[in-house]
Amino acid sequence: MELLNINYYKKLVNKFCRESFNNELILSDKFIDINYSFFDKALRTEDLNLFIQIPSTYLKINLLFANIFFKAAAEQFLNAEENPIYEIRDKLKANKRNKEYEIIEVRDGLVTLEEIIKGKKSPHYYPERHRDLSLQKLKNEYTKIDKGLRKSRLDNCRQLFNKLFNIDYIPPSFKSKSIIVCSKKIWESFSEIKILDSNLKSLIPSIYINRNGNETKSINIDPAIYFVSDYCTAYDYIIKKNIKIDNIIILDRKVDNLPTIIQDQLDKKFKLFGIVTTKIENPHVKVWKWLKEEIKIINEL
Amino acid sequence: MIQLTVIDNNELEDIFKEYRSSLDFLKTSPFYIEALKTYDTYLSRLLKTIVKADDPFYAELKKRIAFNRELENKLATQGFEIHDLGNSNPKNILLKIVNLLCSENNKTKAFFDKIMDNNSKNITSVIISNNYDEDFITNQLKIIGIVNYEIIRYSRIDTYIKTIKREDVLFIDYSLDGYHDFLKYYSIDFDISLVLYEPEKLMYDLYVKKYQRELEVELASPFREKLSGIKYETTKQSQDTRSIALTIQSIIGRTNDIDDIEETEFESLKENPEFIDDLVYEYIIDYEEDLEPDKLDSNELVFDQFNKLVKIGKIRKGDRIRVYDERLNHNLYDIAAQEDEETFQLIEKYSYLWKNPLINYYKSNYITFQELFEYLKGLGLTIKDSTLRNYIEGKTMFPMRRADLNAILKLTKDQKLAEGMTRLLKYKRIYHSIMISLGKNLRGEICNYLQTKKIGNILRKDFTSETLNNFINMYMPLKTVKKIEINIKDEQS
Repeated sequence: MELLNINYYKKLVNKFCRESFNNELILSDKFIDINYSFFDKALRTEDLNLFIQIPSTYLKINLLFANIFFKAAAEQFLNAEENPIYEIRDKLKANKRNKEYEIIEVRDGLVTLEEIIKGKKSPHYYPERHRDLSLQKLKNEYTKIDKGLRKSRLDNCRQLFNKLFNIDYIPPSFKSKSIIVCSKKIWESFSEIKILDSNLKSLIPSIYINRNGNETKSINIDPAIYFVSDYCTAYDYIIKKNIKIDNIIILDRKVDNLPTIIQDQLDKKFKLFGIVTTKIENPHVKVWKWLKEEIKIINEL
Repeated sequence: MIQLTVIDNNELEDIFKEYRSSLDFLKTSPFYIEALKTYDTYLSRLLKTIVKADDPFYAELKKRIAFNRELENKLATQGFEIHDLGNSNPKNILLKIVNLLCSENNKTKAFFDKIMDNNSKNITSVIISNNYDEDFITNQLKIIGIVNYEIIRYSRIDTYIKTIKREDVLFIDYSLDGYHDFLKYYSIDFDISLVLYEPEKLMYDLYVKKYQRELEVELASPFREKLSGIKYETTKQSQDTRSIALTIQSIIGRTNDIDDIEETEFESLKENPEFIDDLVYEYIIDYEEDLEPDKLDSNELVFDQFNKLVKIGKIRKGDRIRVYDERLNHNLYDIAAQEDEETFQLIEKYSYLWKNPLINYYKSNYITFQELFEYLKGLGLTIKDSTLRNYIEGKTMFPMRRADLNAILKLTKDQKLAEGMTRLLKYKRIYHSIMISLGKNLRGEICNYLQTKKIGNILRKDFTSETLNNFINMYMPLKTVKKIEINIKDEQS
């Protein structure tokens, strides 16, 4: 086999590997990092639907996808809701105490909370009430949740936001979402990717939706990312409901219905990106095809 | 890294040259026959076989070649007959090739030599085998006394690689079906040994060149330069030495058509070499006992009186056999669908593509079932009315024959069906190949049960020891073969 021009790869690594990639929150390597940067570039380039093709025998595919997932989530966090709306019956968890509350009154921009009693208490126990809290105080000291949730989970999640953006709160919701189309196995494999003191799946709020519309949450707060195993599910249960979608990311799925996705893209204006292991051809997408030899050279530089 | 073991065989090369010349002769005046597609598939199938001379494979292949009429029909359109070709008769030469390979078994020898060689070095052989050869390989290795091996399917390579813990494995394959498997083998990080005849080796060279060209095209692509901002400087010019290899490729036919097909379909073709033409080769077996005769496909396995699985082609008059009851398969679809959701979604989608227009036509035209049956028969339907009823009731995944699909298309004139027909045929094939593979596993479990009384995982879902015993006695009793008749049924295209 012909020898490849090593200088080309040195230039690629110099330009696209982040200097800090070894110290990033998730494990990575040079090849993965270049793809991470390509993904970043694609998100910022208008009219570019980038697909990256890799050999089907590439061994670190889960790690590559984990890095993409992480980046996608970070992007969504940028679109987090900064000015939340609080309504009666919303559930909140106190950041510094292991207690949960329900909003029982909203009046003149002030909110009253009542404790949700958990576990056994004496019959005379009176649930805590916190009256007339300002929205700012709520934002700083409480986190909106859907159902019960362990404090440690939330703490880890908040730590992630802190590391990424230097903020000490978890947004109550995300103004827009992204969709990742991949097999359920991949979503589940993210629980093996270490980050901070926990794992990737537990730290990033996401929902997996199966073909029948059944939802499984990773954390009981508003999700940043939806996971589905095919585009049709995404269309039926998310896109059709007019939830604002920023990006659709396809990870190792056959894309038979690319023309349909492109059509919807014209209407809904999401960005499209993918990493695939089989050939893909469409006038509206651009493909960068990595060959086996290149991966080896890059990681050995 | 791919390592080649090329079989030295001067006689084969000579006859091969003769065969090529005879095909070239056909291309010229006055015949002007460009290619014999069915012959290409026979040759491709022949070159990759490793079973021995006593396997019914060779006899069957010769029968198929003899029965085949592609050459005769094409000659007839010009007003010629096959004896007008004299000695330059591809059919006879092809049969000579079959006889040569059958008597020599060089590939078989080279293949097992390689495994024995690995064994002596404590290397585990990971054999990539297809449905047809697996039993033969297992039996031979048992006879030779080798245990340090594994057999896997081509479609399972990616999954298997992720589980390899040791360094001392060597993959082995004895065929190269097209660019797809070349690429896969090229890209795995383990060593793989390919045992090939010289003509196949020439094709391998072709694929290497093709890959190099693809590499260059990708590296120099304008999109790469645009996205990365870096231009790739090539270090040398590539040579264009495609000519000889292309000729070879064109007569080891399948590979020519295969390059643009999708991975799942390629896998099903590679794993099921039996699907080589549209001929359905059928065995009709009559029994001494007062029982219904059985009609079995030529590649079916039955249980002999020692509870071993044997090919139907090896059964003789007087043998006692048990025939597998298809009812045992009823769960297989669900099992398969769970294993591979994506593919089965597509299989179901294409299954509805022909069912819906048929059912809609029947319901919305106020005709009786008998009328529907008559209309379809007039358009070429080959099945019985009871089978058509199964179609209407949605009980069948895909019609067996293209003629029946075409009849439905002609009657309903459904646009979507017309447009999706090619893909439908593809998924029909994939579906059958997966079900056959699973069916094999299930047959294996029955075999194991008959021999050891242990119930395997699939059987356990439906049976206890007692109920399985009853089932076998009732529906799969031991029967004595009185007469065997062989029929070739031509599936119309």
